[in-house]
Amino acid sequence: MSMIEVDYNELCGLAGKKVEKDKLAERLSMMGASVEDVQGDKMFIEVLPNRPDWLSVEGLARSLKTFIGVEPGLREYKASEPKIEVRVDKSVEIVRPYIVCAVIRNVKVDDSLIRSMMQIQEKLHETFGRKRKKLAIGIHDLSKVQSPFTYKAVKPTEISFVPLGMNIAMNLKEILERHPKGIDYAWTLEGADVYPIITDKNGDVLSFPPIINGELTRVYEETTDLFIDMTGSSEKTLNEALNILVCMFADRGARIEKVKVGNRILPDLSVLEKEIEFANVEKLVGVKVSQEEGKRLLERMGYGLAGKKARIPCYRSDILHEDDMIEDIAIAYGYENLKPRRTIFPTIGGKHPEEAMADGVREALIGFGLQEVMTFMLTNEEKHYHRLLLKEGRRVEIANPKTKETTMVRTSLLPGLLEILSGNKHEKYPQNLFEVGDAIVVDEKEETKTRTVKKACVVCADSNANYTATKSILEGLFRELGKKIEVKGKDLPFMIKGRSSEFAHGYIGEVGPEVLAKFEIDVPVSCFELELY
Amino acid sequence: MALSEYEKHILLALEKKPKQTTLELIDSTGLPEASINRASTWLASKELIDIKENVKERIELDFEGTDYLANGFPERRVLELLKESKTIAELDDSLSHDIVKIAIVWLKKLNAVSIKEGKLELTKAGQDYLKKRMPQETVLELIAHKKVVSKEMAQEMDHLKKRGSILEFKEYTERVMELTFRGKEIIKKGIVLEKEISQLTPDMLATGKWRDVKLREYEVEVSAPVVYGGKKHPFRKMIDKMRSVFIEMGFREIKGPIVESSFWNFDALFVPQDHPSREMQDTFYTKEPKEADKPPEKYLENIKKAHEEGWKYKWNPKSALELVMRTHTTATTCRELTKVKGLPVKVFSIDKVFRNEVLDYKHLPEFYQVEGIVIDKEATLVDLFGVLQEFYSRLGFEKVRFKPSYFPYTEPSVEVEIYFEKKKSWLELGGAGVFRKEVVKPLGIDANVLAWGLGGERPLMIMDELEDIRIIYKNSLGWIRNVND
Repeated sequence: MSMIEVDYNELCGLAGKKVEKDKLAERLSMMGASVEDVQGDKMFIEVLPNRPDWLSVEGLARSLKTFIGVEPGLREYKASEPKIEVRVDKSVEIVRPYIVCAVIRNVKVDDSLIRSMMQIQEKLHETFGRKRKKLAIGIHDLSKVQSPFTYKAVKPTEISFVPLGMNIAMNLKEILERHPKGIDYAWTLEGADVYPIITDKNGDVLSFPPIINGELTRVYEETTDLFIDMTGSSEKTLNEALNILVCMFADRGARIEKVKVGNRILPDLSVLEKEIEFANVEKLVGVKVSQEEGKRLLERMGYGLAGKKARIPCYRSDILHEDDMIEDIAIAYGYENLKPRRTIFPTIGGKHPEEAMADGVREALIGFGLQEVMTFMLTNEEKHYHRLLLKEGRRVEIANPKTKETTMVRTSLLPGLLEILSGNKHEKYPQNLFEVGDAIVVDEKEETKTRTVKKACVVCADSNANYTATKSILEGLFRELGKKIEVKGKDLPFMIKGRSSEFAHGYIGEVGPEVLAKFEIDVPVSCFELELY
Repeated sequence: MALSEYEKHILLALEKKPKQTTLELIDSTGLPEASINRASTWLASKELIDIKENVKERIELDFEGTDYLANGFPERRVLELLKESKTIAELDDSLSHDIVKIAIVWLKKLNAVSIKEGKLELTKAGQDYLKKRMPQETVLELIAHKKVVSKEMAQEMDHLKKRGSILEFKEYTERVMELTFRGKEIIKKGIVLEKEISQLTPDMLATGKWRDVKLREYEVEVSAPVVYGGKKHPFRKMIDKMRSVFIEMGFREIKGPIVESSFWNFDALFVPQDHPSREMQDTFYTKEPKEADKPPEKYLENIKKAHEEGWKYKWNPKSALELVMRTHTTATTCRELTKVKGLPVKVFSIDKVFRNEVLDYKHLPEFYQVEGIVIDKEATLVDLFGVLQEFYSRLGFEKVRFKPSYFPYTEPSVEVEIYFEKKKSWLELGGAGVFRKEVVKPLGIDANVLAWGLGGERPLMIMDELEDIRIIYKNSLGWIRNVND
């Protein structure tokens, strides 16, 4: 999700109606653009990933204008015939295959436009563009270069130009190594032998996508005509983003002009038509919508309606089928107006049998006066194995942990409980604690190569904690569960020699002093752990 | 006024001498110090006596002093050996040389020994000391028994001080008990001492002796020592409450793999393979084991088709096998869709999910998600609103509201918020919606699926006013033992 900043007055101005701030925030959020913060006239708005057309104040105002009824209905965008041509060389196929372009004429470049232009570029790059890998945008002063342009791939040292913000010419390799944007985005070209470039008729460089434009075509306040290039790995994404961007300029009164890109004429601003059956609104949303009301609601969301077909504006790329339009109809209807319905879908509820058993164990242990704790499943080898003097065993290892705290998934609960004892040394003893929780073991037979096992672990920490007292609890637990238990003496690395034993699916004993020292626990601890299923 | 046996003893002692220190009271009542302290505190609270506290210095025996008290001063030990005159070497055979050295110094000071022909011999004074105490012994014993050391002995005490490790000087608080006017009045009315018994014993009951004793009356209003019973973790209580609400509403609990394949965690939910949520900085991938078995062929084909037609890209079956720590329990509900035999279906799960976050005051790398689905041909968005409203009202949140949102696998998608009365604010809980056709059709469902996956910890944080989410898993006993909700 992206957060954008818009000016309250600008938003109202473009929407064609002054709406009080509180009311505006409420309307926007019921439209799907949640207002997260307001500071004076600055509004911070969260834009959902399916509405990249709202990444500019112009786009947001366009939807607001129909939503609040200032001018409902479809807005069609026109573009004049192409004068500019971009030739696409085959060499780009292996490095950055697609390019789309448009020209914007008679644009009034002012502060607010520049701000809005920069914001939408940045946000489109970030999300839609997957950090420029999938999509990157260049906006140029058209008057500085001459058609036809060429999009081609060249060797890293073949061409030099002055990149934006510099005053010396650099070749592409040098830009990747030394220009701040080059350093940031070099990864998008990793492994490539050739790099993409856009030049004009005379060989002057417009852009080295997706890294940086040339200084030559920098946009100034005097600029009146813009050339837009978008390059990337998905043609579909590029066309969607291009439409969003050109409509934004058109909303500011500029004129869109097509460009001949290879053998295509872009942008394609035609209206998409999709059939809609208003009866289906009831099936999905639960409210009846007549043909007439359906039309009104669609228009509130910027659609048109022609017979049985909804006319979808050219900047909406998220409409895959009828359900998407029905969602828009529901939004126009207003979620606050959708009365929650208490329908009884008759079913019989119940606990999962394994969880029911875990509940029984918890209840029994609480009956013995033990305190339940809840700990994390993610841990690391030091805490899980080394401190218990154990060798590392088979376990789920995390490939990409952000910290050293989360490198593996626990296979037993005891280390977590010892850590809790260690953190509660200042609290009153006895500390008799338990956890019933999940551990994960590797199991090749399973579809996911792992199995979740529910374990129960008890620790008794007190100056006179001992094996016998803890065994009384263990035996009591088995009695509660209606099961028999037979233990067999067995020395374990983390227990005092001669004071531990094993039983089916578990162990019991007194924790060894070396382990207690490693956990910095100052009192004796006896414990048991068993697998419930 | 009810008075305990000990209180009566103290009052009677104070009647004879109305102002006494604890030490004096030990003497005059014969009670142990702890009993005097406790009883006099009670007397003070009844305003029968006043207690003043003075900081004083107290002399106690240090380790040598303790040793000398038990085994005798070195000079005493040597003196005993010198009943017959001996050389120093002979003395060294019986005692350590150091002790002999110290002993001789002090015996000389007392003029108790003299040297004749290389042998030590007792003088007349020395002979006398065989029968009576040396001054240092007298002082040591006085101190050991907390008796007052007389002025004549002051010099002796200085000697002992200088000898080191014999005496230790400590600051202490001396309590002085003095009868109040009320106390005197009570005594005037007369105090009858009876033998009181604190514990009734089986023996008394068996023999009937209980008839002859008075059971001491307790200070029944005094607070008792703290004990902690066992109980559920506060968050477990909340989870169990939510589980029982689900069950009351007819939902069946389900479970699913925690280490999950990308197929069920993402692909089956129409999350495109280049979606940001699948990136390494958001999702925990596993290094070992790394890949799941292939999902059933029919689902594989259907899901591939849904992705390629819907999102227009080449779907990679290999990335679908990558194992992840499940990022939502929606993976579990999604699996449930393949098990549907008849409608309606209502299932829920409250279970752990994982996100590749660094632990801080508002982010947990693992947390609980409250997940549910309703499957029925007649189920619609307003029914979803109804279910959630019912669920949260049973948990005590009367107001629930819904805002437009977006998730790749639901359409419509909504954001769920509950109103928290105490804070007068809305709290975002998470997402809900109706599963997209692209999700349900490939899994063979021809009905609407209402689904929600909401935060488990957040309502607890709000209710218990926890500023830091880590508190829930820190398991500080100070919090767990004392929290009550």
